[in-house]
Amino acid sequence: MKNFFAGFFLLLIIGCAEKPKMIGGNLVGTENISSLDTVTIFAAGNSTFTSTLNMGYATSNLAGRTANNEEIISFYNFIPVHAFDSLVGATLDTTEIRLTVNYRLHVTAPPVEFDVREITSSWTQSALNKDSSASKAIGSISIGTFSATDSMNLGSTIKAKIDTAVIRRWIESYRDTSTADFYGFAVQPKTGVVTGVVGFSTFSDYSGYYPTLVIKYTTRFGTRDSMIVSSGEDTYIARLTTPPATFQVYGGFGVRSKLLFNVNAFDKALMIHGATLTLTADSTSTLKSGLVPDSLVVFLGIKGTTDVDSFSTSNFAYGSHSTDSSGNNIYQFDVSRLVQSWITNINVNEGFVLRWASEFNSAERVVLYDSNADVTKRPKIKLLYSHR
Amino acid sequence: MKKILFFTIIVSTFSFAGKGSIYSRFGVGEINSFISGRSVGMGNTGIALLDNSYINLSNPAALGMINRSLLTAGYQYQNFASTDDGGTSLFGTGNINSFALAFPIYTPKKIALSIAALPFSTVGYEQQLSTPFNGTSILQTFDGRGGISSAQLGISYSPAQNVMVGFTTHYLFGAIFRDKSIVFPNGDYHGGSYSETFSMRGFGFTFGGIYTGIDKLFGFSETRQVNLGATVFTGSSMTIDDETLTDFSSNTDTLKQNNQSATLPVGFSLGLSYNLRNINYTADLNFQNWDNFKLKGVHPAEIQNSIRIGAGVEFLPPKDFTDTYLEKVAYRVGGYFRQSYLKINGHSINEIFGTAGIGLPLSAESRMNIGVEYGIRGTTSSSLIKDNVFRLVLSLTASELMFIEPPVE
Repeated sequence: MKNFFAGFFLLLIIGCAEKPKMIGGNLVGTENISSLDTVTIFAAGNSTFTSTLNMGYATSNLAGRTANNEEIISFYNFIPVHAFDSLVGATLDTTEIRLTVNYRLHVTAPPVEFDVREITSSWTQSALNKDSSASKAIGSISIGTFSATDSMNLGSTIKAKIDTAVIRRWIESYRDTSTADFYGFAVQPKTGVVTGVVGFSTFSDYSGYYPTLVIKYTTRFGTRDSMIVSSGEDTYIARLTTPPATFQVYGGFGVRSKLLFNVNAFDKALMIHGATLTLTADSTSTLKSGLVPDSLVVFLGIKGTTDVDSFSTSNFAYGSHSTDSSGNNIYQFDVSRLVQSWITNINVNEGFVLRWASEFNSAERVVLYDSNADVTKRPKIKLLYSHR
Repeated sequence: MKKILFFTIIVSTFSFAGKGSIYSRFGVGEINSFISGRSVGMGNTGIALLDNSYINLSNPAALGMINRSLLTAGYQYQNFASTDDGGTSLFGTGNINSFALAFPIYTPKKIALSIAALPFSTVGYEQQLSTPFNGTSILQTFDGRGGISSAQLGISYSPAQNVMVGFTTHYLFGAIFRDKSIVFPNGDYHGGSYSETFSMRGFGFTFGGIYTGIDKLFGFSETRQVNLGATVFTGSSMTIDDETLTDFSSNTDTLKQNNQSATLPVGFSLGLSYNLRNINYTADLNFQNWDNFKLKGVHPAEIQNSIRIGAGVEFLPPKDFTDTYLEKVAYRVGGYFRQSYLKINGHSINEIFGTAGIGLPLSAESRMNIGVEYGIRGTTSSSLIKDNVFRLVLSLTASELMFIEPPVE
């Protein structure tokens, strides 16, 4: 019996298997071989809408005015991290807000000018947007100005002197609970001046060029000193005067588009090996700075309860700008995974939601040829697929 | 004994699946012809072979000869040299392929039980196909593995002198995995794969009988013994759960088709054994009606009826305790021809094998049988494959008076 046991172990140990070389392709059977086919499908429709976005936590706080006289207003609420004890009984000599430019679009000389106004109602950077009631609560009096002499070049720090009485009130709002709350400052483009959009480094920006409030003062003992506040909240709001009429995406303003394709004719068993979405841009109406990645992003649309713009944040594809053989400016996206999910009914086909990739940090606008355009410029998906 | 039993069951459970011939991609795989380590050397014959020292898994009626508890386990190494017009592939694999335990219950009526596990079929292949695409090529890979195993319980009974009958209940179970993948040469396109799993289960029965009175009918001398055996396999109506996992473009989708069916067909076997002094002659004929095979309600076009004819001779050592070790060794030789159940491109895939073996005593209670087979399957004509197959089977058998009450003195 011991021999049996030992022998059995021996057999187990010498058991082996190795991977064979490949032969037998002839016996695969034609019905098992996947053959590849290509087809191009064109967009079945498109629409453009404006989303209500909260722009807090962006790395550029935008302010400016478009050619259509549409305003972008940035909001700042400085929050002191130091005690104000040294300011008790002190005289505020000068107070100024300093902002560092990190984005600009169509700013020509003379540069854009901004007024600084007091915000008169409560807001937070996580909730304020173009449709918030608080976005309208901006004081009518200018308490400071970023003037035409300020350079709007990238990296430049622009300064606006602020009425010291306002800053005193801001200080007291923190020291004395009986004083009315203070809600911060709005930077609003001056009316009727040259158009353009500027972006300023934000409190969320990692560059270190935070918005700064500089207070210079003379103490009650007669010594001069200064205090710098560079923490707080910020955001911006941008409103269009009229809804966009063309198929486009518009950063900053939250303008996005929906693009529909009909894939009902495809067999569920189809395997998608490549699906390239091509969008052609209308260069004459497109506004780009060249300072942010020239990319669009498409998301898988999902059916929202009320919104037409619901999309899946985990299903998306980026498309970068290039030029095709005819010289058209195009954006191409690998949407294989998204299209496959429609065909296999993993996701319901609610189309794509399209937006500018740097939507929160820039005000670029890309106007695209729509589903009614010439066939060479119409949105299309080229599919490479196989049957099982 | 208990340790061995436990160990053997565990190992056997995980060892039946393995790689094999590319022909195993068809039907339910390569149908197993293994009966026992002893019969391998005799052309895998033994329908009518009676012996009290081995478990005959081909005919439950033969269990009646057992007078001691027997435990056997087999190991098989296979080597394929498969050739088609694209070249030759060498492939070897080895695993434990069988386990059986048998013990007598009531020897006057030749009632004995057997419990066994062995493969019914084995699937193991891998194929690649390169197809042109955009000036380059894509690679399609087809891979299969798994098979059907049989866990079986057999019993024998002798209703009359010279007549033994028996039946085996087979629980046929297992899974066949078939994968297909498509790979592109660069990252511009997405590959994908389909992984199909057939989980199969069902019962089947083998009825067997052996008549040992032919020698008396014809008045042969007592040194000659002729047995006639026959078995009928009832086939099996198996239940299949078919699950296909499709993996594409980072998505996955699963398609399930539960409670499908497969019909394994009826089979018949006839066997003759002739013993003259210390020589056993055996011959078997097997037929299985694969024309009635259906998988998910469809009969695959490449499946046909199978016939197998085999014969063997065994030279047994004389039972003399004074013999040297070599004089206690049994020698076997045989061969078989099988028209397999495959007919591809109009050609029956036939096999012809020569076999040989020896039986080595390890102790008074145990024996090792070593069998080798070498044969050819298929042809390279008509875009087919010719397999040159070498098999080595090692089988260990131990006996013990387990379950048997010792006589009271």
